[in-house]
Amino acid sequence: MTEDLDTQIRQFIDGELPPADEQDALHRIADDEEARHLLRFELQVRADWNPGSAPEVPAGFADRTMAAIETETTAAPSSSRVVQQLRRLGRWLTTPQPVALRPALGLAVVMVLVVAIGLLPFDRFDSGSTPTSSSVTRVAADAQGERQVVWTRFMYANDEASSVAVAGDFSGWEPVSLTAQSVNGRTVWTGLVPVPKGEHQYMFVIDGSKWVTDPLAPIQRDDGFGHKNAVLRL
Amino acid sequence: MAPEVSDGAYVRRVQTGERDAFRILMERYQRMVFDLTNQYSSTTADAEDLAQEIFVKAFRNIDRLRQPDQFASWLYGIAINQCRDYAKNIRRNTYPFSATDHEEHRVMGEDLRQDEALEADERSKQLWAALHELSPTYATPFLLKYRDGISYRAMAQRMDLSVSALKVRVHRARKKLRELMKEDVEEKRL
Repeated sequence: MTEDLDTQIRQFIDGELPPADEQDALHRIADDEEARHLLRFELQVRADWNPGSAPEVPAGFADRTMAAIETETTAAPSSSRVVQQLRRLGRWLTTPQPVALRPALGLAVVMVLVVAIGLLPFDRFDSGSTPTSSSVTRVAADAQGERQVVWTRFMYANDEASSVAVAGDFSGWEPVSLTAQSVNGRTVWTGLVPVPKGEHQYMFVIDGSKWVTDPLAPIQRDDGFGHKNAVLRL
Repeated sequence: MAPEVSDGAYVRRVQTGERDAFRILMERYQRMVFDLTNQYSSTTADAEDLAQEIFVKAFRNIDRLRQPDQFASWLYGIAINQCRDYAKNIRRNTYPFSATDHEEHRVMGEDLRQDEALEADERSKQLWAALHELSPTYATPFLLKYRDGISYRAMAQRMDLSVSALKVRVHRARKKLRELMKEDVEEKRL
């Protein structure tokens, strides 16, 4: 993976790219195996390790710990307290201390700080933007005739397309239209498609004519015509 | 929203004798520490005891912290060492990333759990194992971001680092973890 692509994937993950560049990034990622794996890894971590999955801290833990610290410090031998105080005194003597400033200079410093804080970049990822999720989700399975069918949700994020469809061997390569939905200000094309259990290949079709590989597919395979099909295993 | 006071400012207050400032540091990082102790102990009570030992040890040694703004990664280092000592000292198979009592109990007790949840659990264990290979400099922002859900801006204010520096650290952690987990999968295949 080149350094340029590495930066682009980081910016994509951190939500720093404008929508037009996101599409470009996704297609570059689709063409690079390592970048694809890294994006899959990111999505997997977000799915498995969402902040709500961390265990809760027992109520009153901070109080109990502060009490333990209190007990320890009051029970410590006086010599150790003296050493600690001497150490603190030494630190105070060698640490720069606040100095009084003239009000006009103080005001200038405050203004510089305010401007500096105002210039901090706004972090889009942390502002609640929804990460691009996996393009394919197994929704439910039921038996149709002899072979089990899995209802599979396909998703593709694209703000500019007028139509998006998915086509695969499970549909005889006939495009199945996806429906546009707005998710956190982004257009996500989505649809449920019955897919028989087993291995399948598919592509997305943008505006009825542009066939693109699923950038999030972990496995891609040459279709013999210069493109790559995404591989889906159910 | 007013910027958060940096960890370094609170550390300096503790170092000059203001014990209550330590409570704020503890409240900031107690989730991260519990996340670690829960990986090593089989009961909530053990996890709490271990977490308490970690914070008491940190308080006891805070005078030695020469770079107060690095409190989070310094604390993470103490926590990891304390957890490893705990695992060694109790002299039983508590290493959290192999088959453990805890896992057997879970499988027996929750037969109906779906395959996907089990797979996610396994991946999470691999991720924790890989995370332990990383230095605290990279592991700490990664954990704070993904487990505690702390924004880059809040982290930057606490750690007195720029948002872009933190993003780069998390990205390096991401790449290293992905590499380590890939190696782990390949080793298992051999």
